[in-house]
Amino acid sequence: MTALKDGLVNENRHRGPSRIRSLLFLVIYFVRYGCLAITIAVIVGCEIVAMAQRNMQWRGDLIWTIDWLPVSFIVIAPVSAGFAAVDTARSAVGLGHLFYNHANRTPAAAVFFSHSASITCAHLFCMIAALTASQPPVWDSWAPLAILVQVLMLCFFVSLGTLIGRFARPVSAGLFGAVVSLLLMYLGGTEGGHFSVFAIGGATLPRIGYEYDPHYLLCQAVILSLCVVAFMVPRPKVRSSGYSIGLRDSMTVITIVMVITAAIVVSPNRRLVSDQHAEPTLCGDTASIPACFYPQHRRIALEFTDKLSTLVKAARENGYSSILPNAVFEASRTRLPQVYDSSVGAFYIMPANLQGVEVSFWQIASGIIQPLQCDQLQSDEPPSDRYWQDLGSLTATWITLIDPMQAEKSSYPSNMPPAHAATIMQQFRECTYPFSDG
Amino acid sequence: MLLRLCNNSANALIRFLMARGPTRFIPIRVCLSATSFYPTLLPLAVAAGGVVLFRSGTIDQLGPISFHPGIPSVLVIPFIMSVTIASAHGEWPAPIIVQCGRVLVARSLSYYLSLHCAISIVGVAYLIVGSDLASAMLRNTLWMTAVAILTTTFVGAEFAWTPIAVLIGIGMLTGTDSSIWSLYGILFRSPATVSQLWSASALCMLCVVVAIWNPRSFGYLKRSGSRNRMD
Repeated sequence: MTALKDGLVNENRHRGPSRIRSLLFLVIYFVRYGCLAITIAVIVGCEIVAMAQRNMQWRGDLIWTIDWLPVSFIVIAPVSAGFAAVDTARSAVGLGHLFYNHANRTPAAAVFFSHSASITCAHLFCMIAALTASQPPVWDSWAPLAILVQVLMLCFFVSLGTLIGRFARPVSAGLFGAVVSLLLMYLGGTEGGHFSVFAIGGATLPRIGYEYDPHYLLCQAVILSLCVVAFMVPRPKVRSSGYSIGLRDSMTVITIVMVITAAIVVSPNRRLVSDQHAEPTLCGDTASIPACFYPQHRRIALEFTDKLSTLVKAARENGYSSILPNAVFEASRTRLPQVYDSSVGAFYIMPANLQGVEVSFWQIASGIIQPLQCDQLQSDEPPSDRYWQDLGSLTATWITLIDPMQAEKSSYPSNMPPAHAATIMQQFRECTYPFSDG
Repeated sequence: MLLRLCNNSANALIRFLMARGPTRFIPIRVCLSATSFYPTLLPLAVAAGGVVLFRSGTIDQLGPISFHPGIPSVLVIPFIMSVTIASAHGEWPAPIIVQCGRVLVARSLSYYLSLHCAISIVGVAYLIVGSDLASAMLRNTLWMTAVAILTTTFVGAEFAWTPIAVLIGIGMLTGTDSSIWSLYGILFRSPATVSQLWSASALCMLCVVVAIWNPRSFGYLKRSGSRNRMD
């Protein structure tokens, strides 16, 4: 206890390197006598578990890598807040008079600085490990800001824990910290076309074709920083009737809350915006048909081109050359290559393929045939049964040339003559096919 | 009504166990006030209110993770009940000086009554949300209480929430799993299987016995023996 008191005094007496030494002292103190060691162990363990999920499908995609890691915040947030609350509540025992100090010279501040610094280091360590495993070929200039928002979110939960720890007993502080942080994540973590303070990603689909909106990230960073300040300001005053907060502290918190409310109102709605400049640039010839991929998907491109080559050769040898496209480009979630050139086919790389599931001939063939560029397919009215029948039949006919068993499983007729296939393909490309029943 | 029932059954038990000696006329209310039963009542009432309020609610998204299908809210409420029971019993209102038979009886009584109330809340849930969810809630109450009690006994009351919060988080993180013994199956599968209920009950009983025995703290005075005599 005396050691903590000395640390609090030293922490503010010195500047520069001495201040860092004091912070290190506090970290060591809470590792030895508090919950900091187990907090760091839980954070690193959970982030490693999150990284290993779904065969590390995010590898290669920068935004997906950065957005994937905070999935573990579902565990980290309650644990950080709970342990910070327990440490604060236990530190306050016998040191209650130190809460009358300036807000950055209280036991709560000591817990906040030491926990935040350690948790930040642990998260950055895991993020650097994930980025090293990912090796993204394309960089987003706002990626550091997205990582900063994640760090500020961790600081937010630590400060929330210290706030609860100042007013609760050690036994109940941890439970309150965990429950409140889970509730906040539940209430404020939904991305649904509106601004959300706790929107940190958690993507289940590739993020190629998107880029960060810096205004959204800046608003998040500012609001989270203000929340941290607002949580650190209240100092409990022990009275006979219980705890109370001073008028000055209350006014400061109210002012910050008003600023936060105003910031939320003027914040943008979308965290990720469409990146129209992103194009598949990793190109090569596949049986004399150019095939291009986004460089983020280099690791599975070869599997696609091998199967495409087999499909192209089979079509040429059996008189179905007319259904072949001039080139095949990978589609992203924001860019369809057929929209720019209808003679081009599309690769659709699914998350399952990135998890290690082998790509099927059917997936590649239907991706090339489907005329998703046509406005008729984008309207609310669903296409006719005849369209699905022709699409399935054309795909099955193509697949039969290589793997008759797979075509049989589809239950579509697989004997479409070459001339009829050429006609339908032409109509698909020109969007003149009668998509609706009328 | 519920409290009255609990008190009546507890009264009978304590009369039977404490029929001799100077504690014969100690009222049950006074006896219980020295245990951790009363501090658990308010959080258990909050949990009961939660069952009524969120009877048809589901958690479809938590932070960055979406759940398909959504997790019924009532399956998370045992978290509050179990941690409350465990942490309250880790911090007794009266200091225990000697670990004697009366202490064990009082501690057993307190655990019995708190668990009785928690299971009664599951009974209320059975009437409101049906047998499928109620059985899953009962399973969660039993095994979460077991884990929380064990943590309180060996680590400390302030950490009773930690293993359950981490397990719930990891269960949500790892996602749907058809196995009944996976973390997802133990936490969120509805209805609970008979084997899950039996194993959770056995685990809970075992942990309560360990907690009543309280191997980490036997009190600071020996019950008898010449070594403790002042002469």
